[in-house]
Amino acid sequence: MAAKSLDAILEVAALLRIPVAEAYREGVVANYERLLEQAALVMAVATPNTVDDLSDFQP
Amino acid sequence: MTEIFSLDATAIAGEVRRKRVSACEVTRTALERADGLNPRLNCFSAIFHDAAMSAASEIDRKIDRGIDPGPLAGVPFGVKNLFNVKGVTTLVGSKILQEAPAEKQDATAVARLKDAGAILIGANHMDEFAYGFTTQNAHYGPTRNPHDLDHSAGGSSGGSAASVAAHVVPLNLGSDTNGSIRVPAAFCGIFGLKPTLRRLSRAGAYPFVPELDHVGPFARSVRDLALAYDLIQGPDPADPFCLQRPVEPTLPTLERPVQALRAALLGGWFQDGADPEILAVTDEVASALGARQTVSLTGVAEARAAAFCLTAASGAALHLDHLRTRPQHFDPATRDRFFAGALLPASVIHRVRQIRLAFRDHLRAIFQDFDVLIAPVAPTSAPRLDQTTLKLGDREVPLRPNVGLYTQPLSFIGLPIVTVPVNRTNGLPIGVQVIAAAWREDTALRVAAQLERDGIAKSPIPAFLREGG
Repeated sequence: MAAKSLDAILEVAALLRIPVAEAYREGVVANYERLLEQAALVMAVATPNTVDDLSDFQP
Repeated sequence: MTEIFSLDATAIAGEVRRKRVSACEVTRTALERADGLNPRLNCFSAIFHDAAMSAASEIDRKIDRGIDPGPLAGVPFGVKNLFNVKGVTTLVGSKILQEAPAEKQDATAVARLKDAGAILIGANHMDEFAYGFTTQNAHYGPTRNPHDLDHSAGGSSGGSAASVAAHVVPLNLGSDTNGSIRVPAAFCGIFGLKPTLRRLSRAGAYPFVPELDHVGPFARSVRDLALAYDLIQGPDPADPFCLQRPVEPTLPTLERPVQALRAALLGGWFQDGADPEILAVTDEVASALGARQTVSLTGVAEARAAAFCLTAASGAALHLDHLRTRPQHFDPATRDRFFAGALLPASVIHRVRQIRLAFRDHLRAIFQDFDVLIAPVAPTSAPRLDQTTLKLGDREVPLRPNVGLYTQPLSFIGLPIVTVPVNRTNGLPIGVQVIAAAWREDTALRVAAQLERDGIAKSPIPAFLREGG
């Protein structure tokens, strides 16, 4: 998992011009994987495909 | 006789206004305490000796001339080091911003407290760029909890909370994106208010996650919390995110009875894995408010996950330039999370926004039936500084991402919440969230005031102060 994640991370990071130095890779991969777990929860939610009222949130 | 530094802000202002003590004496005492305690607590990143004494002299001159010095006359206060202070570089807990120029003007919230006569004595230590719950900072070290120096003060406004708990200042300003006022208030045993999102001006406060950032006060009494909040309220042309709502004073409402209010305990997510002691204390508060029902919200895990993703992505977007050019100058814990957040697909963030609306609407429906909800602030009291994991029931999870489990879903939709320190005789402080419907800070503060009057809520005095420290 970590190696696959690392490939994906390095590709996208290069696109964003934020090269991830060798020394940071372990920490970045760990945090990216933790983030993906949370993102999976987010993407599993069925929500109406609305675009209204998304950018001007009122509590 | 009670020492001046142990009075709350309201009492200090009364003494100064009646000329029983001068603003200069109060300020000198606060500066001496800040100088004396900072080596132990590491709660200030800058102390403003000259500016504070000069402002105090001005208050004393006003009083001598019969000019109203304001409701916070001579009250020393501090601010998290993400609020702009004129003439000072705003560090935001970072090394990268050390070279930034000094600010040209005060943040709106700072200016409004100064206009009320308060004396700014320093800027408080924090997690780098506000990304954390423990104020453990690789550049400047941790802020230590005044109740036990081996434990965290909480974060990210840890320096602010510690300075109030240690009786250096009676008032402080912090910010809360995912729990950064509520967690340190709970760990340090003081009151903290996270107002409704978009209520208070954030002009001049360095952003972390613009969609989620709130500013708010810390204090050792509810009346101080309400007073500071009331003084900061009101629209601000410098901050279009702050909505155009009239000032709705809460201080005059604190004495109103709360018996008619409908309270409920939050169950499910908000109890899972918490220390038994935390649950017992939260139950005690709910019972005192006559809460007979336990409410389990739906979609909390998803709301928390959504807040987690938005924080990483939006926070990272603000720092892309520095991630490109100066990654070595970040705190590694901050840098690695920002890197990860920068890589999150936009479609996740679109879904995050949809979840946010749905969760907000769910809570709006809940608040048709209840006026206040009660929940723990955190699953644990202040962790040790060397602690890296947290026991959640029978699971062991990484500490730092999970301290905000109970705070993060609620700030995600911007509800007003008061952290109430529960009156206990032993152990580290424990705080409880008093949660109200959007724009009902008055309700949350009234409930906190009732708990304080009933002796259920009280800011504990750190042992070193009881021993004459």
